[in-house]
Amino acid sequence: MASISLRHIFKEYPHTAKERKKEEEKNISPFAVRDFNLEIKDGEFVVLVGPSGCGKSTTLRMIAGLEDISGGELYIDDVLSNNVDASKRNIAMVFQNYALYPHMTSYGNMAYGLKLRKVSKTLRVVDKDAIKALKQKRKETKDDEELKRIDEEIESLKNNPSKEKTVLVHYTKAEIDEKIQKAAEILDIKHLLDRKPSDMSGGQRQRVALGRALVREPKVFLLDEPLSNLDAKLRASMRSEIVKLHRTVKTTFVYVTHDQIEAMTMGEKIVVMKDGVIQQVGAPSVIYDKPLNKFVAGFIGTPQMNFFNVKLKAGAKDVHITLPNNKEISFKLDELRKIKDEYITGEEKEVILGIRGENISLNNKKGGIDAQVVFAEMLGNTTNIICKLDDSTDEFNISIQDRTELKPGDKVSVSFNATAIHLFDKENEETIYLSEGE
Amino acid sequence: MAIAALIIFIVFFLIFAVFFAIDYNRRKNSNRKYHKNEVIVALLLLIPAVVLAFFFVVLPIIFSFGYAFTDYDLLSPNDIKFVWFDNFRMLFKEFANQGEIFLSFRNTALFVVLVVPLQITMALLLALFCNNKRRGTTIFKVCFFAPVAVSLSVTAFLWLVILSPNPAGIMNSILKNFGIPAQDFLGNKNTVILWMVIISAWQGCGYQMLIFLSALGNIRKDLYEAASIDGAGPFRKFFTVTVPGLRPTMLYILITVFIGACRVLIQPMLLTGYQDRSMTLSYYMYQQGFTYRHVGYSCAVALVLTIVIGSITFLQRKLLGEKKK
Repeated sequence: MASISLRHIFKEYPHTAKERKKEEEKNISPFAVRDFNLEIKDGEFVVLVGPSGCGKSTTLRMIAGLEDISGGELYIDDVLSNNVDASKRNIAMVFQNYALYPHMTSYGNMAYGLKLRKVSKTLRVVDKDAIKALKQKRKETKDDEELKRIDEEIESLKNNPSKEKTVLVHYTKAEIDEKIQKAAEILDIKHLLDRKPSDMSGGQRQRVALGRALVREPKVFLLDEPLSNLDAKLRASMRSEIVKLHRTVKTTFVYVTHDQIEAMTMGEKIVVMKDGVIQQVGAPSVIYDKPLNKFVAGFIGTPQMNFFNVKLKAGAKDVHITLPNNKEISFKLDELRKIKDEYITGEEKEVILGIRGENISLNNKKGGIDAQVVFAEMLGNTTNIICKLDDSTDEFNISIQDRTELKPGDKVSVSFNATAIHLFDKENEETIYLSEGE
Repeated sequence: MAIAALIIFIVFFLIFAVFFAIDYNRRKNSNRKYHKNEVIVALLLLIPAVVLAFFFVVLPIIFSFGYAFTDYDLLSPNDIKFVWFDNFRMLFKEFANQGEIFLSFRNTALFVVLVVPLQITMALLLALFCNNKRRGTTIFKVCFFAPVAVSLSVTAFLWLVILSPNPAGIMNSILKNFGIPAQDFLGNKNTVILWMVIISAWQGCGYQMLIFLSALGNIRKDLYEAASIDGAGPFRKFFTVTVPGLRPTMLYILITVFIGACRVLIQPMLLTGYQDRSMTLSYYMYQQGFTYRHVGYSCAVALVLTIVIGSITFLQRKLLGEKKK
């Protein structure tokens, strides 16, 4: 078990001068990961999530030691580990394509790392130095009784190994077998132990890959999109398996995925990344309810959050929002989350309003926001209704926990749940709400 | 003769047609149906290859098989008698008496035993050397592959110059610096096979290197990474990831190099001429067929050689091949 601390981590892949010039022209950052700061506590389940190419895998591979760190410091258990060899970091990694050795059985795959590994063992050995000293003393004494006493002492030292000595030894076959059987039990793969990877299904291979990581009893588990090659049903069951495994072994897990559902369901702490930069770190509920910027708000949650370009006029008591169809909606200031002072000026400001489909209600009350149904999709437990405010605006979705008779073209009236409204600055797309504690 | 060729051609074409009809029928029963025009186009496209293969592969094989049982002599081509197994009897008798065929067999066997491991090892080492993204590896690849592109007869003459028995020859003048007297590398029966092996391996390994390189490129990188995390050093990685990954390619290369080595002909022909110390089975066959004009006997030797190579190749596949499920 270990804590991991990433401080100002940068990663730059080698560039030729030509590539560099091209990037400069297009104003692209040369860094795959930029100023990455993260504290991972002992035993925590951290999920790095982001679109492909956002640097999440690179970060994981830097923790694993498979990738050099271009700048910054990586501490594993408070030990600076930038230049520690991958095999010495005491980590285990599960790869997207499982990376099982194809010519070995599951048992062989799990045993391989254990066979190579040396562990320090404390042995009790005969204290030769003490005996030597006593023999020296014996030469010098002439007293018979003293001689007898020394002889007895030497004899007892010889018979009772008293000195502790630490040696590096390989695991014995029995020890390896015990570990593998234990891991196989946890993962329910005992019947697969003598099969080769080519004789197993994707889910079974993934279990064996997890087993290979588990037998090492690592300080940290690193999982690089381990479920992305599995079908949807298997993925859901493996998700809970991995969470269960984490609870059983109580080790630090760092999990990389591009799938926000995996991130939400598995992580204790989610790190949302984009273009090599951390966007937000927090518990799943915090990320979902209080996104710090438009990217996080849009990336997390399905269906995607709806965004509207609106005009905001926030006074001391009331907040007026003008929707793209020029419909104005008003709230009391304390109905919304706390807005930063610089936006409460009474002047009209252009902002982005974000609201999730489940926070829009269809109430057909008077004074609601008029909208037009484009189509409705029934998902079983919920129904998504795609609407638009008027013909000139973008579509948005409403998700309701009910069936609906609405048909395309029907007029509806909707209202927004004030506590679930997100407001983002139009320029930098950051939230205009105060964060907790500010 | 021409009539015989025509008959064989018709038989061959009929066999081809039967195979095609079977395939066509099988497809017809499945969901994928061929259109009539598609079939005609496919046949037309196949004709050039079939005709070429027939005249240059099938026909010679069939004729040489037939000639092996006759006393066909180039000096009397119109007087061919069927002699059944006389040629084979003569062949084994000469082998038992340690005649030329025995010498050529011994030389060929020695050549094969030495050249196969050397050439494959060299090809593998070169491939490992070139298999990285370092700058300039392309230059090495080109250099290592260059001998393959040059004609064997050209390189043989190059080596004749290098290995000249003259004290002023290139190799001899190098050895002179170390105080070693001038050697007749290709005239000495102890060294001539060795030099043939070195020249063949040097010339041939570039091609196998390319095959190894493509196989190395297909080994997944994450296996190496998993091995790093498991604590494997470069050697262990080589034996647990690279070698198993190269196994199917290795078998293919082993078989092709083996067959190629068994047929070695040009090296002894150009380096030494027809000599006891360097003659090989192919050379013996050539000599019997075209210099002494005993075509029937030569074909019998070819048939025996084919059977021997074929059975060893079959054994290699059985023993080393991946077991089928």
